Amino acid sequence: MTNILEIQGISKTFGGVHAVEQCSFSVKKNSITGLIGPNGAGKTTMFNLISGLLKSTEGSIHFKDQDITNFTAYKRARRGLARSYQAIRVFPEMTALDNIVVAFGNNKEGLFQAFTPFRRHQRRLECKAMKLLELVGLEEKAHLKAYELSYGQKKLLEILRAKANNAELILLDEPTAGINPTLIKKITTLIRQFQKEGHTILIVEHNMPFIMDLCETIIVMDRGHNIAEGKPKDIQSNKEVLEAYLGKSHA
Amino acid sequence: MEILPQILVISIIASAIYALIAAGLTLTFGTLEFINFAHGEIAMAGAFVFLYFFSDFGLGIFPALIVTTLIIAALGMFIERTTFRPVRDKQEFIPLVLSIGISILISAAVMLKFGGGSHTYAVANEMPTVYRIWNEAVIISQTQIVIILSSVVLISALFAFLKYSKTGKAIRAVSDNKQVAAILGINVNRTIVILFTIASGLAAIAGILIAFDQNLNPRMGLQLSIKAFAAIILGGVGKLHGAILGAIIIGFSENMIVGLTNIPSSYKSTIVFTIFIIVLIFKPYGIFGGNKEEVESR
Amino acid sequence: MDYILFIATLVAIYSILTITMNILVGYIGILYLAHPAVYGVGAYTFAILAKGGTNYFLALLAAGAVATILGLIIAMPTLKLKSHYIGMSTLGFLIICHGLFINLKGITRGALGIPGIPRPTIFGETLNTNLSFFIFTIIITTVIGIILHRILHSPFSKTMEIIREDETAAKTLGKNIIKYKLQAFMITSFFGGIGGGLLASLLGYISPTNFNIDELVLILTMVIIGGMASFWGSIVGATIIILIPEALKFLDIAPALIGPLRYGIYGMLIILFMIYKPNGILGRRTNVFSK
Repeated sequence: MTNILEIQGISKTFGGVHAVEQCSFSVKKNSITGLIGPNGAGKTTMFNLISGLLKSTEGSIHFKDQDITNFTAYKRARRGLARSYQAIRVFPEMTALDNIVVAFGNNKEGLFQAFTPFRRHQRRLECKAMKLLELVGLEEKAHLKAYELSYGQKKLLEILRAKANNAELILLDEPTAGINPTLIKKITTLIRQFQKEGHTILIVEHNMPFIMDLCETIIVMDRGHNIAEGKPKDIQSNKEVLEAYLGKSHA
Repeated sequence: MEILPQILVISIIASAIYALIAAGLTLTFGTLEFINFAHGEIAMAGAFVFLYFFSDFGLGIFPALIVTTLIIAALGMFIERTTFRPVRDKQEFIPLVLSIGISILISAAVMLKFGGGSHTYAVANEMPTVYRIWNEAVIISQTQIVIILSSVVLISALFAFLKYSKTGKAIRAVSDNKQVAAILGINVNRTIVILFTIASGLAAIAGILIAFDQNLNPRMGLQLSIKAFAAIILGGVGKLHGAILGAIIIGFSENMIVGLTNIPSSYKSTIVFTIFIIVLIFKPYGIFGGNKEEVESR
Repeated sequence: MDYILFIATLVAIYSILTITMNILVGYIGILYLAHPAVYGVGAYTFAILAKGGTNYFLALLAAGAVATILGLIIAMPTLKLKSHYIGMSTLGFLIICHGLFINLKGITRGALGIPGIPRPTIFGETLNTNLSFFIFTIIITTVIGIILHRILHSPFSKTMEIIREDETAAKTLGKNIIKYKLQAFMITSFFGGIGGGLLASLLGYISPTNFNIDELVLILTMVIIGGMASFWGSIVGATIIILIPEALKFLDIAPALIGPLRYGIYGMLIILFMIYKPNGILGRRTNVFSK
């Protein structure tokens, strides 16, 4: 399969609002792809549709050549589709380490597995989680509760959690929002590392330098519809994209 | 089917009472975003305070009514200030359980002061004035006519107040979105206090009316609360017309089903709540509440 | 001394009832107000079977099983509804069941209740004394307690808690929310039902009044005081609430006033805890309480 994700004719209406309108695009396997567009373009709605938190009013979604349009959110996650959230959703009362451990799929978290010797398995998972924390230098904070971490550290945790279960497609929703430049560089390195390990990453972002530098392909949405798709330098000189961002009179 | 008209009238009376209680409840729900379990207790407390001033203290009906409404309104204000306001921004659990605690406390206080048994307002040896209407098919007492009229008048007044008066519009704004209302210059805290006071006043009047019509006992507050919730949830919370519709559904299903079939009246509550749950299954946000998509887009 | 044993037995049974209620209310975070109906059904099932000659232990298991069926029925609407609606629908089930206890006179003897509920007979000895039944109950409740403790300190329990904290995040982490909720309901109902059966056996007589809204207030206060999502907190809460009326007896209060006074104390406790210590005595900070 060349395309790990195929969006075909997806629409989503809320009451009278067409948040997403006949949108189609594909994401190449093992690529780092960006999804940009002005505010209100429908990017977050699109992410919610892909991860399964919303059901589309029409259209289809294919993931790894399988039609997942009618799959519930947790089923898509189990098939290898993970996401991070723009508003950080780490569990504040759990330790940083535990936040990653709960992300693992074979967690022995079934009801009857409570009566098996799960502690040894848990320790192994904790080692795995530690290695992830070491990737970003957070190993010393492993046993702190997540609410004690700084904003940037929480954001890193959020991203690590998306990678934890070896998801083939990782959706990152504005991973650099509110982050200082040094940390942005760290995140860039991290995402490239993920790509080397075989993941596909789809990123929604407003930070243009970051996304133009990192992504091979960029998809542009405006008013619920995708208006352009291509390499960063082509996108930057695309007339429609400029109009969408700046308004017609400036193009 | 000769009893049908009588049952209809009884249903209307029950709906009128529930409507008064549900109206205040749905408004406070809209602004405070939790269901106030203490609301029915306030109605009951109103009935008992009135009992004290009317029977024990010897005031006339109207003076006692005014004093009671003032006291209960003050009670509502006090409760809002001291207990609900501190927890206003916490998630639904806390205020809801808190209101359960308040309802228990009020109920206990009334029981301590008045004893746990039944009371009535009846003046000794005075027969209630009764009318026969509709070709003699229906017996309705003066009190019951007053109940229906008061309910209609008060709720219409409430509708008009919400729609046309400045405070009414403020209430609607705060119900819709507290932050935006604050930005628009509305004093949110004061509006909520006013709202609470109105709701408590309406509930107190409902309690007093019930007490005139039937006996009253300190345990009835919870019964009323629960039926009022069922009413507002059925109709769609936060909406006044939803509360009225819900009150009518509860009032009618309670009485029609029991009156027209052989089902014993002890099944009343069971029937009401079975209907309630069935409606919720099909319309999780209430009849006027819209479906999941509409709620998402709000 | 004998009376103290009775109270101790009551505490043991209510500890189980409180822990099971806490699973849904505290751990998974559902405003579940139907528990008295569930353990009530367990109590009635046990009473009817045990009086009819069924083996004591089988009757207890049957109590758990029937309670579980009711529990799953109650669970269904809650999967679709949001919080206060769940509160009302579970409360609705409580009222419906209470009404059925009163009205299905053929099965439950209605408001008359069921007297003469037997105690177990072990090795030919019927455990009619407070001491013997206390020991028996302690053994059973300890076993159940160990099972529940294990469940509530396992990865399963952690996942329940993240579902409570943030259901959306839990979904995209691959957790099957419905499966967890249904399993939580099953545990709560099964062990709650057994608790109900033990309660019936202890009291010897049950009637619909044992499982009405007052009972809900009681058990809810126990959960809140002890602490949401706390195993030991539930036991502490149960103990405190059961001991309060006993403490009141030492003060010289007119008997007619004890009922309302008790009630008033519960109300005051709920109010104070909700404002100042919403996590109860032993509860941890949880997200149920912050927006």
